[in-house]
Amino acid sequence: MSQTSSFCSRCKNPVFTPRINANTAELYTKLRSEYGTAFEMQEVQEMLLLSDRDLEDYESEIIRLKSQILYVEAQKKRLIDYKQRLRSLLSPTRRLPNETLGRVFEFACDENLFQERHLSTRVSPSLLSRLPALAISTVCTRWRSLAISSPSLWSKIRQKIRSDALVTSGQLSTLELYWERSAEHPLFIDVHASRTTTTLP
Amino acid sequence: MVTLVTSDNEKFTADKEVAERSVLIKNMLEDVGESDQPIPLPNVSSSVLKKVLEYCEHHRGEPLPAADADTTQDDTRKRTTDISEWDQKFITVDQEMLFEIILAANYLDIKSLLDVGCKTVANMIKGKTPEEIRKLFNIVNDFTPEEEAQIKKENEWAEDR
Repeated sequence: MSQTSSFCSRCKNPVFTPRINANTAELYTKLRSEYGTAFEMQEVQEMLLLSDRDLEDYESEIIRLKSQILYVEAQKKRLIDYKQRLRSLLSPTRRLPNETLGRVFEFACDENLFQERHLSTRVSPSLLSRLPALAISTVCTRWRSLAISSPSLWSKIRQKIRSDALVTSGQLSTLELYWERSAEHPLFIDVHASRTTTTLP
Repeated sequence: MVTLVTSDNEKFTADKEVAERSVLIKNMLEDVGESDQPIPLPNVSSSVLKKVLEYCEHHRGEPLPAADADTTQDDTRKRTTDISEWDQKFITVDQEMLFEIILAANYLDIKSLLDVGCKTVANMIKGKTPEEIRKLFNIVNDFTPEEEAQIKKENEWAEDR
């Protein structure tokens, strides 16, 4: 029952060696046979104490291994992020010169739809997806800088006004952003107003 | 007939009328005059040139855009991302090939083909959130936390709530 210390060949940390050989077959035999005899009580007490110390060591070992797993998982996540960034260097959009990418943006931004969500239901899962200039300027630094320096992308606005949906200050701020970024470029604003009829009881 | 040599050293022959839909090739032919010399296209691979020639062949005889039809003129009118049925079928290729065609059209100076490619990419962008666009084109979010905060502020109204 003496404890020998050994070390892990990889991390060089001491490897825990249990003091108790948990031989259940031997214990089972004892349980089934040694009735009423004065067997070594002291030895059992000692083994119980050693078992407690082993349990404490097992607990420490579990904590150590768990922290090691956390470290390895963090390293793995870091590598996954790194790999994703590395792969994005191969993104086909990176090969396009600014002039060509700007041409793509011009086509994509032929309409920026401003519309409030209906008071009771959500008109669209994302208003941002209907505002290509804003969406493009949110993708990455290159796209943002190209979009912000292209006033024409911000100049084609389609405004839908409904009598049952309030024009919020948020929408006005976004419109203001479009006006600012369209700079000296002529604005094309297409306004659609619709009225919903309410049947009174 | 005109002989074109690709980056992977493959030779293609095309009618002069077809090859001259490329402003680059047209200018090169004008520079060399009457000659059987093959024209090297070091920026275009054989698989891409095959597609480009297919496009030029189909659109042979159509009027070329005027040289001064620059973007300033285009900006004043509403752009449209409509693509004709044939062009749509032609450009239904994988993303890698699509961008290769755009780069080739840009290099060879074939404005109508460049527009078909750019419109196709624009149509892929339309109706998508920034995250969906990033995923589609394998782009990573490289904003600093400060830029991120500024963007969040700008997009507050339009973001999902």
